[in-house]
Amino acid sequence: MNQLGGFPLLTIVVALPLLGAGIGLLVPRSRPDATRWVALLTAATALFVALFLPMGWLDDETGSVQFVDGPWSWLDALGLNYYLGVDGISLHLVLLTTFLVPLFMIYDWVGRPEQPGARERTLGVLLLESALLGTFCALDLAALLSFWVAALLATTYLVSRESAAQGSAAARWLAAVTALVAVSALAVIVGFASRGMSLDLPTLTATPIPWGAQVWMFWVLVGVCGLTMAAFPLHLWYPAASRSLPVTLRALLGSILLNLGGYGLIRFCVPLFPLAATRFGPAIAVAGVVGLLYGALVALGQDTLSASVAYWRVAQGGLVIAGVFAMEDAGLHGALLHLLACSLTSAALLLLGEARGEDRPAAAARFAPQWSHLGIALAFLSGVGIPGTVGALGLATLLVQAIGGEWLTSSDAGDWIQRIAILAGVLLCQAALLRAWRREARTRQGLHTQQALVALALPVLIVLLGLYPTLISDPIGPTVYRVLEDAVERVERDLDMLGPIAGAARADPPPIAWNWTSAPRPRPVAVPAPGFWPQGVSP
Amino acid sequence: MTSPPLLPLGALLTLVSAALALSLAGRGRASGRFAAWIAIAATVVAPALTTIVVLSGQSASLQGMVALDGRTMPGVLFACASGGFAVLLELGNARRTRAPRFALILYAVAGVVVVAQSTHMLPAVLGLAVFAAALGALMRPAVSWTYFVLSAVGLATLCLGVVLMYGASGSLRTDVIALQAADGATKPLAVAGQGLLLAGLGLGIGLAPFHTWIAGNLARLSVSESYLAGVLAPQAALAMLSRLAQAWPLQGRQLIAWLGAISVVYGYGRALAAGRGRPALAGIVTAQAGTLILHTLLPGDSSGPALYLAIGSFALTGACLWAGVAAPPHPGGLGPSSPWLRAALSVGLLNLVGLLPLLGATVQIQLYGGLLREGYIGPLIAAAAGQLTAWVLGVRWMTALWAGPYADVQSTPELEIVAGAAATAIVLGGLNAGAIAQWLVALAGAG
Repeated sequence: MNQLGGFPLLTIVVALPLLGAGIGLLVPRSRPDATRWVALLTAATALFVALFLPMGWLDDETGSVQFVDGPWSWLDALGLNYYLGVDGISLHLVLLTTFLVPLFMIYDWVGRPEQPGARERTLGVLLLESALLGTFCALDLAALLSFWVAALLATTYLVSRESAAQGSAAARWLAAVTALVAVSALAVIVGFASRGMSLDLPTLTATPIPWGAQVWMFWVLVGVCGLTMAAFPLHLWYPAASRSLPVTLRALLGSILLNLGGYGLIRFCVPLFPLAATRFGPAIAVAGVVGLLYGALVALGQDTLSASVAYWRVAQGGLVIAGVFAMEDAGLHGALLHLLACSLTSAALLLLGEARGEDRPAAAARFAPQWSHLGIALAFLSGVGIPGTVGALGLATLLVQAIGGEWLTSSDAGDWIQRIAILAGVLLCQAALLRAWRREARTRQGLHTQQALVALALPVLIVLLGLYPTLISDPIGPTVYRVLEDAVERVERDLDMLGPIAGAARADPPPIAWNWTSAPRPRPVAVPAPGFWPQGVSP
Repeated sequence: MTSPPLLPLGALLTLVSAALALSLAGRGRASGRFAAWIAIAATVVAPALTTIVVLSGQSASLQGMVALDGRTMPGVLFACASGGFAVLLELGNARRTRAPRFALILYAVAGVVVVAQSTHMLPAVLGLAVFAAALGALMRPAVSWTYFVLSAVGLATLCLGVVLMYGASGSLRTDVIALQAADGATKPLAVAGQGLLLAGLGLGIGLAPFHTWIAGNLARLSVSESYLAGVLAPQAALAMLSRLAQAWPLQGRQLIAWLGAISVVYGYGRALAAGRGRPALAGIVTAQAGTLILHTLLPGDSSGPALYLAIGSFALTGACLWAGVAAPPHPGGLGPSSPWLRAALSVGLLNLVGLLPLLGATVQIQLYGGLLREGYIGPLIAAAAGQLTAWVLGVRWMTALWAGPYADVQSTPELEIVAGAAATAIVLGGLNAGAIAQWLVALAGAG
């Protein structure tokens, strides 16, 4: 529904950064500061407009899509529409993106008045913001994937600009990732369009998809998400890109772009292909747990904070994947919360860590080092999941899932091995961050005004959301519940329709409780028996 | 109401009259710019006349040879638009503009217009010959010799194919040939004829495995000549094939699909290996030829609009790319590096690789969806691999374009007009692709 009588609020939020980039392009090159002010102003305006979005949840407990804009039919023959909306899954990602981008811009000004290429970087960041917001708001699969590819293109542009000095390995990685994602997206769009299906997500969720198509599309989209979120073993591009970037872009990548993958898993992989997700989920969850262990171990061996954070993010991606493919509400809920927590934490760690390590005359610093000590301490505490910080929320929920939930493996022993591996991975991640903190504590730099603003804003948010978790968890809960409820219905329907597929013994799906604190967890979706490959049903 | 007998030739006569006038205008340097605007006016008036006639509900045929109807109109529009772009590229890029060169461009466009309007193989072959002759005359002698020989071989092969098809069907009318094929009356002689026809056309448009000449040749041509050879030639070939596509023998369709897919893979691979800029264009031409051949395999209902959208998309992409890589030896020295030209070139590249909502993406979705429905799975996967290469090429080209110094992107007003108009048409065409496709279907139905 649209609470504003059809007013296109989301279109404005998505278009504002694009407009800013256009205006910035018109500003003469000789006035780089004017470009920056234009960019900051438009990014701040986007944040201001986005702050109206939570009002949609003041009296809504249904988890439905809010501030809907569309669907406006674009290409009937191919089922393409222009369709925007936000729900509990995308709301916080939109807010997070609009909040972090102006912050990064402010940070980027520090001590870099004459930096060459700053104008292009600022405009590139605006393009990236617009593409990311489009991805989070789009309710048409084709539009969503197109925005997704546009976001990767903008990132490739930014990385190419910055990595020229260090060789173009990072740019090559990004170009390859972008190409793979783009062709995969095209394949999925063609797959749906050739069957005459509408690509708007609510309709698509209710449309039966043949099993063969479900399988290949599911794997292609999981691959797209895995690549974008730098999940093991598709993570190689991220540390390479991260090494050659300035800190603001590194933070932008680590705190916003990587969220796309996790978002995609929850937005379309599970809702559109719940049967495939149930069937292949356990294997993917195992890959996620392996990624968690791998990322944690590699992060433990790193000597710099940024490298540690990069691999810590890879590890957390694995944890998110495991949470999503547990196919229970605690897992999905925890995965979303953890995505948000990781974004804020990694942004704070990277920005404050860089600020403290800068080789700069002490006289330039206007704020004492204690400020940065406090800020980065809170970021590290959030990273290890100390209660009272935002990091505790997602981690605790995922651990509830890990210990109390069922992991859909075929045996109890498998479940227990997975639980132990997750706990070990989380502990190793904490060890890696604590080791990095001990190394970091030796630096003694003060802060610029802009850096102090970042040092204040991010830790405040980390603590605020840690103390009032309902601010973010309330809108998420009903939406996650709806996603799982629809998934159960769809699995039922698919099993009825594709009966012989499964040859599968079906369990009656128990009701789902969306209150994720309740335990023990029920298993929400029907789990076909092992040996599930289609028999007698052509794809 | 009886139509005037020469009505179907309205566009052709406009172009030829202008070309004749320019041929007689002399070789003075001063007349060059004026001549260019006359040529551009001709490329605007000719399709305008055609559009007015068709939209007023009239259709006419000249002895069953040349037709003017809704089905032929898009081909005329795209040919004239490409001709206008070629004139502007010539004007914006050439050191000395001369009236006869614009006349030759108009002759080439007139040849393609004849092919687009042909309902009979004879005028189609004649149109191709006129196009090849005009383009050969436009080139420098050292290059034109190669081009003439290749064109002669291509046309001879094509003529042999036409003769065999006549032997098989007893008619050279395209509708008769297509009808016999639709009835399942395909004979070995007709299959051989179609094979030779495809080989002859493939040689002209750089389709693999007949592509080897195109890289060396394109590199030695001026931007406008290269645009005509790389973009207008495929339009002529596809205009011919669009009428015969339904006549492809069932047994040969998989082979044709593989031919197209291999062209896509090889073309984009070669372009990627060449890097970016002008060396990459030959590969892109081969890949696009493959894509267009794949379009001819789509079923009858959708092949017309989809093929015309594809031709339009390629013409516009070509305009962006060719304008973007032009390095003009302008009389006043090299122009400043232009962000607008870079932006237009980027739009062209994004259209080439297929990012929604640009026109190229909708064309690709239609093409690959059609191939999936028709069961060309192998060629589809191969073409998708080629598309992956195209994305790598496009991303690397674009990042090089924006992230670093790019000496080739120089600006003159004419280049900016070409690139800007083409980029705008790509965006608007993409946003209105549905309406355009419906319009094309309605036009074809009316025809």
